[in-house]
Amino acid sequence: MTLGTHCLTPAALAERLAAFGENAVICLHQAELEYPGALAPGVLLLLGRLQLLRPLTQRIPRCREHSCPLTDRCLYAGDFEGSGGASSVRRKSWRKFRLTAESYAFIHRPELLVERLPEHLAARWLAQRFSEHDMWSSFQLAERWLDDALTAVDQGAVAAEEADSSAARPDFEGSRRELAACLAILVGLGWLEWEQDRQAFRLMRPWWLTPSAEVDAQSR
Amino acid sequence: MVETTTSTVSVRVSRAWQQLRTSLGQPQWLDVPILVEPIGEPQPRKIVLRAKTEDGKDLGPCAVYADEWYPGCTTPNPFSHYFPVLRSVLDARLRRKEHEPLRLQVLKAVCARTSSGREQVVLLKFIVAPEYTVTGRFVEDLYNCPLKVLFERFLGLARDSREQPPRLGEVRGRAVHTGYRRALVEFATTQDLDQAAQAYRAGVWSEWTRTLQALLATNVSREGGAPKDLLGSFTAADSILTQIAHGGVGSGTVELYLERLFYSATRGLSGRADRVEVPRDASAGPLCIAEVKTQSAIREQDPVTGESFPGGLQALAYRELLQSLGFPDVDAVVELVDGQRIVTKPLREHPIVRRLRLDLSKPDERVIDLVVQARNVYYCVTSGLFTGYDRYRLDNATRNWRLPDVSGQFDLLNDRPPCRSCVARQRQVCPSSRDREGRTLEGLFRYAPPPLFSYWVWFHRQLKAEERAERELLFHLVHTPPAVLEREGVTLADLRLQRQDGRFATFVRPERRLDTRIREDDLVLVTPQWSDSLLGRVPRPGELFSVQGRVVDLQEYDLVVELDDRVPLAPPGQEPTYRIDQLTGFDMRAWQLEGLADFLVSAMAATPVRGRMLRWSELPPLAQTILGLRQPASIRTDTPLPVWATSGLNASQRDALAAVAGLAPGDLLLIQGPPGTGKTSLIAAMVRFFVARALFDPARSPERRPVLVLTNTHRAANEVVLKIAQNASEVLPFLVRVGNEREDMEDAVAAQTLPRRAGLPSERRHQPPDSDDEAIAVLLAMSQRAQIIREHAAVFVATLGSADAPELRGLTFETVIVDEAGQATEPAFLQALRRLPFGYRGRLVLVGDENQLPPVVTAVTAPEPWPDLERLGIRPGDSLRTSAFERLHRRYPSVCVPLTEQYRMNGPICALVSHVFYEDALRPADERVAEHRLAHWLAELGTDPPAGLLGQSPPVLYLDTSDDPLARDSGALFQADDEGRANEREAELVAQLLAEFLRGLPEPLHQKVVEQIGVISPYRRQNTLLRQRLTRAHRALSALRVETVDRFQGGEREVIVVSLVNSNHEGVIGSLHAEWRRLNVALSRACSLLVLIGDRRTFTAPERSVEEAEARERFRRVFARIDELARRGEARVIPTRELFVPGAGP
Repeated sequence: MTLGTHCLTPAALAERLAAFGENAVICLHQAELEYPGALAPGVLLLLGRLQLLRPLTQRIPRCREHSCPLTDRCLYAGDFEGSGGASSVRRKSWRKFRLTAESYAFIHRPELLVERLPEHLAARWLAQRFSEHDMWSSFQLAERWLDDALTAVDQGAVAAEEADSSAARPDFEGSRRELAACLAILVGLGWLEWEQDRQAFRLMRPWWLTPSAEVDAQSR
Repeated sequence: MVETTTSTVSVRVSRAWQQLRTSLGQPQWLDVPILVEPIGEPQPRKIVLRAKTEDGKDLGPCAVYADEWYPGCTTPNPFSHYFPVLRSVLDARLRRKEHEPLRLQVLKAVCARTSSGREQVVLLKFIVAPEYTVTGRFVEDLYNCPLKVLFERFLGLARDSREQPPRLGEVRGRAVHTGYRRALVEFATTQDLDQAAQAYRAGVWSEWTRTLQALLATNVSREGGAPKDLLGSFTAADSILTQIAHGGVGSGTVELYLERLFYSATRGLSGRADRVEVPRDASAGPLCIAEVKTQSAIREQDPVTGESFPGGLQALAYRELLQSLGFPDVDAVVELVDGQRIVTKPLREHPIVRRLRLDLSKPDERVIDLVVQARNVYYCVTSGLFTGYDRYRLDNATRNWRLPDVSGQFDLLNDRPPCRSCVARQRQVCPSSRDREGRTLEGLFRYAPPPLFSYWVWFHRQLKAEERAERELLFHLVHTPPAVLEREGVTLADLRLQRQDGRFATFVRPERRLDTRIREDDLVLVTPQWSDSLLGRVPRPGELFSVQGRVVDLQEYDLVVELDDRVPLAPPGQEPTYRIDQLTGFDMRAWQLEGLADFLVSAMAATPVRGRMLRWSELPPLAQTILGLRQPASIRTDTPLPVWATSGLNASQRDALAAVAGLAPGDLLLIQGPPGTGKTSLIAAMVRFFVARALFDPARSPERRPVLVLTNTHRAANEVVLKIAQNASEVLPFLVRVGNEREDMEDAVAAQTLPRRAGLPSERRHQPPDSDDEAIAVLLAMSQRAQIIREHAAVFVATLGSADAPELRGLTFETVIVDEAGQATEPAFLQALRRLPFGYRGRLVLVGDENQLPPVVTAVTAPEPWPDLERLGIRPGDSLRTSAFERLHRRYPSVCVPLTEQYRMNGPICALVSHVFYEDALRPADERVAEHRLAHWLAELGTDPPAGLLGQSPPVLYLDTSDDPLARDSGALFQADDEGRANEREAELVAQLLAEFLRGLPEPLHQKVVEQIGVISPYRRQNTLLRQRLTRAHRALSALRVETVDRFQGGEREVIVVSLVNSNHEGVIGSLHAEWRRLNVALSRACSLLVLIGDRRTFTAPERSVEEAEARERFRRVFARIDELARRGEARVIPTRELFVPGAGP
């Protein structure tokens, strides 16, 4: 069972990371092949961005080199082979991860994730949304995420035009699966809550406020 | 030289044979068609044949020897391909038990004296089965790699689009072609280079904006600028304009023919050169073919100089083709747009010509050998005559890329194959390919499990039979007199051009009605029928002068065609007549073959086993299920569903949704949806359920999407989008309707296409920006939006034919829903599997109804049996007309959820349909539906039912013409499935009945009322007649929808009138009515009133064949049930003898 599809606590996540063991290479595709205890790709990407895992961008090991048990049935194994065969159309970086000293710090102190999470782009974006409304249906939230991505593209195009250079695509960082991972952790922390048969999220604790501001907000 | 009748051809053949005998021992150039049959046992280096003319006159025995040898020959040709190809074709025909004579176009033969002193005709060079048309481009493919042709054109292998994202380079070539063509036309008209430059930009812009692939692959380059392909297509303008300015177009001395079809029945070749320049003055020089190439992946190389260039063989083939038509002096040139410059290569300087030292200034038999070798081998390989369906022969054939068994000793073929661009290499089925683990699928056919191989063969043979019929169409058009073709309903002759307005031309024939099977939307060829000065005769269809078009309107004596180019006007003194011939439309065989080949290859590739025969149990579970060998997991209709998911669904729809929700990857579910049971609403509910469940799933990979809906037709795909917009609008931001905007799309549907969502509505395509820089900037910005929208999309809606569209490339889907699955051929349905994750680890849901119309196919002959079919659930009598839905439903009845509550037909109409077709299981969804009557509908419009037959009728009205002497049908007009029957009396009755109804209603309501009435008959000819009678009877009725049953499937109206047409003493109901499911569709379109007009006696007469037995039985049940309903007062039966007779009251 993939961990953390709808609700994920830092403690459970830390425990799972610990289970991978030292020197483990954790791969995005393990969840797709339903590897027991695999972490959802969105969670891995999120941990990577929070520097609680190290995404491999260079000298990425082949699957057999780190003894991946899924190599024989993994469609992506070939992507990590060196020469030979057709070159892969997928980028190799940010698909495999290693534990780092920061990871172990997180394993020993899961609160580290709580401290760092608000800095993640998705969490910041969610903070803006939930400061506008307490409740968002999942469709509304996903549509807004799409609209903001399109707006970022349009702004980038305008900026490029004004600068009289070829348009460079603005980086609306993160994907919906990272947003999903962020939501699952926020639910796991009790800061958000699923409602309406998992059709909507309700804000339970405005994490972007300082404790005193939070009290003020609640009293209002 | 061209003949028009078999007898003149026969005379020429006889003369040719005489000529041979009078020139004993001297080979002669003949160029005549003969029919041959093998005689006696085959010998290793000799084939003996009996020859005859097309009209059956015996020409005596003749022989073909290996190496073009003949008795007395001193210079045999060890490289000759003629003998091995003919031997392969004859062997295969023997195995297939094909006994009709084989047609050969004999180019060269000799009469030789044998050692025993006998005179013997020996055929030296010939075209095998010239009726099978091969295009010039394919000839070029064969020259480069015959094995690639076997994989791509016989097997139908295509790239694995799960793995392949859109690529930009493919669009660049088309953009340059379009720009070049437009610039040429503009310059030829205006002689103004500035305007030509604008036309070029408009052409390039239109191609980039038309091609979605471009939107999805265009991105800033690594250096930060526009990608090279995009930039290059615009900047190529300079060299192209220079080329145009220096060519003959500007001088006005040549007539331009752009991308016109040209076809030679004697060579079995067709083509569409980029342009043909024909001198206005015949003595001014040669006619010149120009072939423009923009992709240089496949080139012919001169091994001595190392020089390589594309397009040589294609140009040689086109040259030979035009010469064979009678154009005396033909030259050719290949233009390669290479980056920003054009490299022009006259054919005489092309590497292929230099390498073979061909002399084009005089007749050189090696040119013919080269072209004919590629054409004959192509025919032999792609038609399956080389390998047949022998798995060992197939595998052995793939061991040598040159296919030496049919290519002779191939010195005329290329030196090495262009593997880089080969699909067989990508799919690892070619011996020269390996995957990253060094594995190969070599031995694909030998190692396929027997049931999988049988399945592939069963459908492949049928698709190939259809393909063959299509490839022989042009030959048929050219060799059949127009009068005979008119009787077949595929040609209209003696037409005059009434008006030509831009792209639209109106043709008339006031003296003779246009009784034809051609109808609106058909592709046609318009050919002038006066003698051309260059050809010296009247051109035939497809001989350069034909213009292709699409019929947009067809009336009793005139028709309007939207043309690709202007039709020529007759010169003074010539009779200005034209003929129009029906072409087949979009070739659906190609993508169906691809689906079938993909199933064979992907099912085997998904197993880790290599190098031995697979057991079927080693295939992916869903593949086993599709093969009919593995019972799918039992369905569960008790899967708990959230309340929001089931809102608005009835009990049977809820069961179906629960069953879908409970599916695991690799499972199959069938949902049977009779008419009006809310299939589309259910699909909308399924889509919302899957999207909601997947929207925030952190485990989802970007290439894996929740749901894909595939339909058999664009109309059904549009319906799905509209229903989602209506019932689950929150899904729309994440929905993409695959493809470009189409004219028949509702705006709400068009708004979901990717170009529209990216900010590129169709009208923008016709407005190119003022500068190249602006055009590139706009394209980049839109491309980025398109990519974002695609990245966020969770549901895609497409037709089965577009399952390989650019929007879907590189994506797989957890659930694929196939709507109208009962109407899709099985190979078409296999397209759905191409979009499931590797190993078919996804859910497959088929929604359909085998009691409605089956797939439309053209092959009429029943397929030959094959081993193992019973095991697959294929029964005697099954064919491509048997859908996968029908077969799988028979095989696995327990995994089908039936929808039993319908929302369309009121109680009595539903009772009739349910009793005759659904064993009384179908019922109205609620009382409101059951009690709905004509009066309720009219009350909604603010009026009461008028007096008269219709207005006062119970829900079912049957007008019985059995005793009406005026109501006999016209008899069969065409020799085809659609016999072209008509029934004047029925048409008049329908018109009078509806006119009376309208006259009883307030005039302001007429338009709204007419929108809710439909008239259905199975025959196109009757429908034409009906439209004419209706228009004559009441002006408002000209807007009424009159369609064949097939076109009405999926539609509904408050009032439906069905004209059965067939009424004759012989009791002939024809093949259209023999398909009983057509009756179900016709009767089940009505909501409140069903009117049936027809001759009960004809339809209930004893069956004339086994095929129509079931239809007769259903008709008997229909009339019996109507009688029963009449006894209850829910139907009325009226004999028509006294009805609406002139001078008599109704």
